[in-house]
Amino acid sequence: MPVSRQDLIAALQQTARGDRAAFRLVYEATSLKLYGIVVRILGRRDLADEVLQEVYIRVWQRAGDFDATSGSPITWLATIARNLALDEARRKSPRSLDEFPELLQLPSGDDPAAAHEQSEELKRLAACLDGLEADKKELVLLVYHYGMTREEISGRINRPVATVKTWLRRSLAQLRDCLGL
Amino acid sequence: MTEEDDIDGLAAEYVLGSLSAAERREVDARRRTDATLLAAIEAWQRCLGPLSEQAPEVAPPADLFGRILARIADQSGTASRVAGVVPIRGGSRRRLGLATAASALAACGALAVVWFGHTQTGPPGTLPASVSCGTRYKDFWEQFDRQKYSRISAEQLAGLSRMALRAYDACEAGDEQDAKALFDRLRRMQF
Repeated sequence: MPVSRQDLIAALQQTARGDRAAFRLVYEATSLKLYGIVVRILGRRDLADEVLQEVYIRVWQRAGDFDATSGSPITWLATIARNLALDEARRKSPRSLDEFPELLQLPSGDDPAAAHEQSEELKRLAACLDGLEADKKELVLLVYHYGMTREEISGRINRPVATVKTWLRRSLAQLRDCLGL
Repeated sequence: MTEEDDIDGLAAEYVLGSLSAAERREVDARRRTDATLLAAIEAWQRCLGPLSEQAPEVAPPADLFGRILARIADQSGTASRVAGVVPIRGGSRRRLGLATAASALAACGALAVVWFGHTQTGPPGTLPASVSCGTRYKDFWEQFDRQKYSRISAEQLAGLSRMALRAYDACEAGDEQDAKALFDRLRRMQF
């Protein structure tokens, strides 16, 4: 359900005051995206169901912590979802994306329709990512979207873990400089 | 490389998601007292957060929001309802008697009848109420919605009741590992 950024901010503020109708609106507006994030990191629907419940219980409890002046509501929600999914992924045995083969596709960034819907923040970040070498950009995106550890990446690309760490740190430093952090 | 660079790199990898379980735990502990690390993490969250816009949209189960609301309702009403949770002892095994079971199981319809027939075996005892174990047990049944009940066979239901009681017993016995594993399995069951 498309909801404007302002409406989502207002709904979060009302949720912080215990308004369940506003909480429902937050859920309906964001659960498809947050479930997509969680499912891609965990690769298992049963675990994703558990984690998504925890995500929204945390949103209900901590909606008052959201500060509209320091970031977008969807980024705040996605951070909660990613953190809980990563914590869960680290607790579990190796993951599989067998249930979701379609999710193995990384976003290409070449879709004009998708580009139209991107926030200004994402456009800036995407431009900086394009400044990385192609394989380093893919490395960063693989880790971000699938929560892969250095060890998992190392096994996937057949390079030492230390090399993966160096590549990641350099790529991230390059991104930081590009974004002016 | 300076210490600041290390902190920034660590924060960046923490937010990106590439740290191992042990490294993640270390950062989680350290960020509570290290303002520099916390600020770096928050900066990287703002920096990389927009990538989440690229995540695919996947529909969660239709009943998930109902399950979330049930858990929220239970958390906010726990204090007032816990007074009704009275574990009892029957034979050598601890059994659970819930003074408020009728309301807790109302959502399960006739399940309440089956459940009582299965569990009420022996005179009620007077063990002190256990807040966390009783609440977890109730949590499970409150989330066991009508849709699931309509799909489950009588045999499955009996097995489910036994497993729920084993989870409660393990919790009461202080075997948290076993209790958590059983409660987790119960929540994940598909029918």
